[in-house]
Amino acid sequence: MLASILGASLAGIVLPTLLTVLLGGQSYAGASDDRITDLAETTYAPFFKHVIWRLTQLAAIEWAALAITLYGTWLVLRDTRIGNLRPQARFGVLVACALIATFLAWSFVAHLHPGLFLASLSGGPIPVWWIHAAGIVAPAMLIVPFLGLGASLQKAEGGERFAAVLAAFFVAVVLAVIGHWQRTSPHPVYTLGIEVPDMPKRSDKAEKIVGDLPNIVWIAVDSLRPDKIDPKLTPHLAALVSESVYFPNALVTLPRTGPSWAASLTATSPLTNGVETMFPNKAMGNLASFAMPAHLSYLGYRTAVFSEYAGEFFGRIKAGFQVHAVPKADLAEISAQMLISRAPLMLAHAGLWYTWGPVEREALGDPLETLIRGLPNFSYPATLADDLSAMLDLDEEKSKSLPKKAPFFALAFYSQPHFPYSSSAPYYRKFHVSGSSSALAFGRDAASDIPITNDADRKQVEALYRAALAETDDAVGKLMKRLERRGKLDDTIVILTADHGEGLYDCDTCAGHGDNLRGLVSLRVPLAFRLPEKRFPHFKAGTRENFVSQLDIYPTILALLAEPEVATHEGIPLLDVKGKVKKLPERTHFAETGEWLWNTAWVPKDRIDYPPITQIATLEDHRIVIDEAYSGVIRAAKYRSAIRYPWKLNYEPRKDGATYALFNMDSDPYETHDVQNENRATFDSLKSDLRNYLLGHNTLLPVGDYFVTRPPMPPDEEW
Amino acid sequence: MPLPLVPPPANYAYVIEYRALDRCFVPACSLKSNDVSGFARELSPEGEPGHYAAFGDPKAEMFYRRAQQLRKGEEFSFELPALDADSEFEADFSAVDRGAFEATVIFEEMRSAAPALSLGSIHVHGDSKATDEPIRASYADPTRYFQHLRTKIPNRKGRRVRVVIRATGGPVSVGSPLVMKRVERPARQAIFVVFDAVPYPIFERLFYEGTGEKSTAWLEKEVKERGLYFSHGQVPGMNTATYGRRFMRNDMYRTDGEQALTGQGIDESPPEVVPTFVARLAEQGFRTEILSDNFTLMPFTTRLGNDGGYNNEFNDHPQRIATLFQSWLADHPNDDAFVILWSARTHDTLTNSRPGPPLKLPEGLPLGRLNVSRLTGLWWNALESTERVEPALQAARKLSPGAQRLWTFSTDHGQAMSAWLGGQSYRLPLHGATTGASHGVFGSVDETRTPFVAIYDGSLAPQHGAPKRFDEPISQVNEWRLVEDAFGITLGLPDTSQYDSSVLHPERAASKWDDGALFSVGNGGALRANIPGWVYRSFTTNFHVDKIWKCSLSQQLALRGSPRFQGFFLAEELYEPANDPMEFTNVANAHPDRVADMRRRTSDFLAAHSDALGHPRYIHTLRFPEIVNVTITAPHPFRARVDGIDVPMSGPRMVAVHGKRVEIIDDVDLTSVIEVHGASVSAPLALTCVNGLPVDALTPERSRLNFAVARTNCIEGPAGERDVKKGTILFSFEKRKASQTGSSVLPTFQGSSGAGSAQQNAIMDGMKRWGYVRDMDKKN
Repeated sequence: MLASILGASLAGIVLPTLLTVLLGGQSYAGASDDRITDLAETTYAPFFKHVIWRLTQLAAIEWAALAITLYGTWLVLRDTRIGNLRPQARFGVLVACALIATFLAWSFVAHLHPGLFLASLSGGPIPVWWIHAAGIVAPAMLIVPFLGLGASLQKAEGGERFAAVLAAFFVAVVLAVIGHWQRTSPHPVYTLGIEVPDMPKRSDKAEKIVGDLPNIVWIAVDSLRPDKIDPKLTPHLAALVSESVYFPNALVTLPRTGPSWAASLTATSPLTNGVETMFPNKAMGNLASFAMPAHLSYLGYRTAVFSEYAGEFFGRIKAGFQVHAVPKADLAEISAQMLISRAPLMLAHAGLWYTWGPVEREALGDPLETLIRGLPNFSYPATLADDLSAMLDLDEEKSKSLPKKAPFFALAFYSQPHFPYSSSAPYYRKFHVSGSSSALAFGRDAASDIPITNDADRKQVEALYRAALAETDDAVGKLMKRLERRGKLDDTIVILTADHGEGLYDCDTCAGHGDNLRGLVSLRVPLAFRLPEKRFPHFKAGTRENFVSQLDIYPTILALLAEPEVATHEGIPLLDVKGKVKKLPERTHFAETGEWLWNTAWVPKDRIDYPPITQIATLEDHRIVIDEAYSGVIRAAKYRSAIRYPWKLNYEPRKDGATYALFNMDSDPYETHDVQNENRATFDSLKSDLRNYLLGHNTLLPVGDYFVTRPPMPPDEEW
Repeated sequence: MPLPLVPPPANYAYVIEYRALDRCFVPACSLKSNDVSGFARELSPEGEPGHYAAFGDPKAEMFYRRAQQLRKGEEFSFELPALDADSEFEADFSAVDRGAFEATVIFEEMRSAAPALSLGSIHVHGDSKATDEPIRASYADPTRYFQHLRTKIPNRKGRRVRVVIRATGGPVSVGSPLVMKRVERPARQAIFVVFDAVPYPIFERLFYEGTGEKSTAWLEKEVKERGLYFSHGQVPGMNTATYGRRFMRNDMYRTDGEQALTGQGIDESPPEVVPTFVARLAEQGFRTEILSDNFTLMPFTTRLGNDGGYNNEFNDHPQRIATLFQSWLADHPNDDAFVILWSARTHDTLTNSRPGPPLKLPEGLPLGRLNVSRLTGLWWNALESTERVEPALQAARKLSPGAQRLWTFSTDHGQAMSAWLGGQSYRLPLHGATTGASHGVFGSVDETRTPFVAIYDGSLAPQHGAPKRFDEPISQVNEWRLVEDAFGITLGLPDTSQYDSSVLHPERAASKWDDGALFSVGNGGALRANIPGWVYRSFTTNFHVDKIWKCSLSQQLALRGSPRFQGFFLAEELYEPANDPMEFTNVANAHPDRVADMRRRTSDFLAAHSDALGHPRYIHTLRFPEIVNVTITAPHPFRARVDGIDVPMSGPRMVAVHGKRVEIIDDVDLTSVIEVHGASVSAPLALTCVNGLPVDALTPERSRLNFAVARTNCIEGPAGERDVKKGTILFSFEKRKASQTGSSVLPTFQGSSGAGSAQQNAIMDGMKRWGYVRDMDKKN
């Protein structure tokens, strides 16, 4: 019988895996099956072997768990008519039970974390209903094997009893070991990459000032809009801003994650720092000589960045982070994620371990942990608090090259409110809008073609965003509590901001971010500075309505640390060395669209066209970059804005001419009425500001009303 | 002022008939050591030509000659065709390293059916002194190392003669073996005197306005009696290296096989033809020598095509060089020759400056803002350097009065005259952000305005209305035009306004490519452009030169672009020389359209001149909305097809077009900018990519289309058969395949190698020694 159970449970693992692999999708992140297969067999063969080996280990654990479950179930079934069936029929029943158990287990994980399987869960109302139900049905069904095992322990004799005892013992040992790990193990450093050799050396000055500087924790929530911070729905974020100097009207320069971070970390606009798309090449992505983390490292800080999928950009730039827990999105990782996604049982198992706790996450091991961390539809924001703890617990051996007893700068970048806005149970159910499309039940990929046709769907998109935000809010609360518990909060500057806002169908083209500049939904982000009282006794929390910029963050940090300003910064310090708000001048802010990845409903129809990202991307040392041949047209085709509240001037180079339009953000927040004729002086002034800003960068050449890209200057070595 | 009497022309001269070691360029004559001076001391096992005989120490003095090195018993021989005229053989023999040497030069008649018949032989022997025992008193004495031989070759009338050089003792170097042929005309001699890094007010005084010193009055007198004075010369580069590259060879940006950049990541494959004007002169029978100071010249001087040269690193080098020139000329009074006399005494105040009279600068300079003490040191050194040249000039007149001789006096660049400018931050791409530059990076008038003069001497009849003063801006590369004009030769100068100034040849203004401005190139992407009324400076943002937080405030600005931007122009500056001749006030922000215009001109200039070797060649297709009759010109030769049919060129760079679809096809060079003229072009016509993006326009003010800009912004590929909108020219481009058009062979590209650290260190040491880098070791 044991052989039948083992065989049936193996079939329960292998059959669905084979089925899903064979029936799997044809492409993933723009990479075709053929390409992935080719890469798996050639360039990335060692990496793939490693991934498959880890998946095989997971499968072995699953097999053991399934065998025990099946054994318990059999103990119940054998007393029924099934027990009298011929051996082949009995085996068939066991296989069926194994498949049901497998399906229930997968359904349960999908219920907990639907983002892991988002693509599979948008098939219609029945799957949605089932995933909701699985939260109850799957645990309830566990009763069956437990009943069987329990009964067997009481009644059975000999070998059968011994087997039942062994199975129970096995489960107990596993749970005990995990429990012990959780109680005794320090926060593991499993995911933390340490890159000391490439980092700038500490200055002599740093030795003297270590200990005299506050810690800095920069909390960033992807796609966070200031109007979505709410004491009821996001209590922790609301609490944080209430304890801060809060600027609800901070603007970003380019509402896309990568370029936005490059701008924030260097206090320079994309045209200046060179990161104008999500896929800069290696040279452009090297910001280490002028980015804030490297600067802080020079001053003696231990610098770290933690994130999930949206933070993959940090793996592709050099900004001076010594410690990092961020996913990678090179072709190897994308290909491996595709592989895992085609094996949903493994994905469910890995997802469960990833979300279980830090110890289990460590047990998951690399590269699975990094691959799960980087899945583009899934997020588990509580991970970042564990990452922070892990950084604080870095032992001497692993951090011997890092500053000892140094203040730290940690950037925790939460991905979850970025589309597809997937969240875990119970968050996604809390805000669900009845009557909305089942395709939107668990997430909304703004890049997909699911049409949003009615108010219910629009509200459901916002509900998804709110659910993701709520889960992130709890995670932020956990992180703040962790800081407090570790005794760090009272000597830590906490910054809250976002990389960009988000269009939530506020208007017909107000969706996602970076494709157009309509309104301020994708440009406006919250910016808060919470200063520790013991260092800044004059600090007073409060809200300032001034329009400020993400470019102001780095200069503000330097001001708070009493460090000299950097002349290249395009932002200004918002606070002085005492933490008081400075007198802020009226400024014109500039913004631009990102690269258009592919045509969607909110990508301007009459834009200057260029091929989709799948055709213009290329590889540079396995890293995905935009082919340099397209950088000229991408820059020239961008829509741009000049903003001096309440006025916003939009520049839109189109196929049939470049246009300018002026809008009043107060009276017309979604830009339906061009008022340039009624406000000529303002129009001219903003147009002049924008033109001068663009002309100021010699990478552009004016051609009529257009600004095209100037060919690169001869390289330096040609002097 | 009447010109002095011109002496009667001499009735004969000797020109080089055969240069036995004709080729010296990378890799045939590549650096064999990590020393930037580029000498090879090793005996080549194969004994192939292209090495140097070199003696001395790069830190003191050094002689070098192209040489064939022979082991004992080895021979080096060459045949000469029959010749009616007299001919002479010349060479400088030496040991390979040091010690005794001996060789025999044998002349043989070549006979078709019999063994060669000996016509005579000469035994040469000597002793090359050790190079590590320099004796200062004997500096600039080539006889310490070389045995000079110049002898008549037996009569070659009706017979071929073979010259055999046989090493009969230890290893021997046969330096610069030349066969000189007698011609019945005066000798042609061009002597370029270069004083390194002289600020323009000093030259204004020396050349024209007078120094008040007897010792230098001769120069002013010569200029005013039989010279041309160009008060607003402008160098093509802002320091010695950038100048050397651009002044000595016929391109502003090409780096193929570039001598000074060996090992620094450039394509080191040699071009088909050595691209230097020195080589052009050598090909036309001139012997070529450079007697110089300043180590940074040595990579150039060993590879420009010179037969040999001398370098002296001591402060008394002006005198040494002048003396050596006189002794050299005594051996070659009637030879066609091109000689550079380069003095770096003026590069810095150096130690041991000979105290001289008080500084005299032209009227109107704001002395209060100038670094007077530094200028005074330079003034003294310039006076001394000038004084030392006069004996050389007089010796030439005495030794070869009937030769046609052209002297030019110039500098390779200026230098910062004010503490304000000199103290500004700058960047060197190889060495991080530093401070205290004197030149090379600002694009300032201080660095780039370089007055120069030409003096018609001997039997050379003055030209261009000499004596005459020119105050129009002119690129200093036009010194080569003066040589062409003086001797009636051509040197292959590019047919553009930069290289063929209308100041000299207004009659050619319409036929050459107008570069749109005068340009100077500096380090780290610094660029200067002049047009009447405006000066534009452009810099390159480079955040990677150094950690920004380690830099001073002004260094931070320099990394971003302009070291003194204000307002929105971050990497460009604009000046009005009429109101602000020393360019103290950047007015870019007040004239954004002018800056944009200069940026456009600069883009056109770069499209015409920037290094194109690494780029693919293209076919650019222009589709007009209707049939046009236009003439298209470009800076370089190109090919054209109209409506699918090849059309003959109406000139080397021009084609007449009648049709709707025009294909401009790159030839050897990229055709990255063209000019379109024709009555049927009804301006404005926007050059538009297939996706609708306009990238350039033909307007009444602008007749150019910049394909480099178009290629940067348009997507490569055919345009298809779409309609062309009225008022537009549809642009598309594709890579040209070698099989297309049957045109010349496409260039091939080779990989490059990185700089060796030892070589970098040598460069750094030298730069420090010469004050290019003053505080490299200073901690910021």
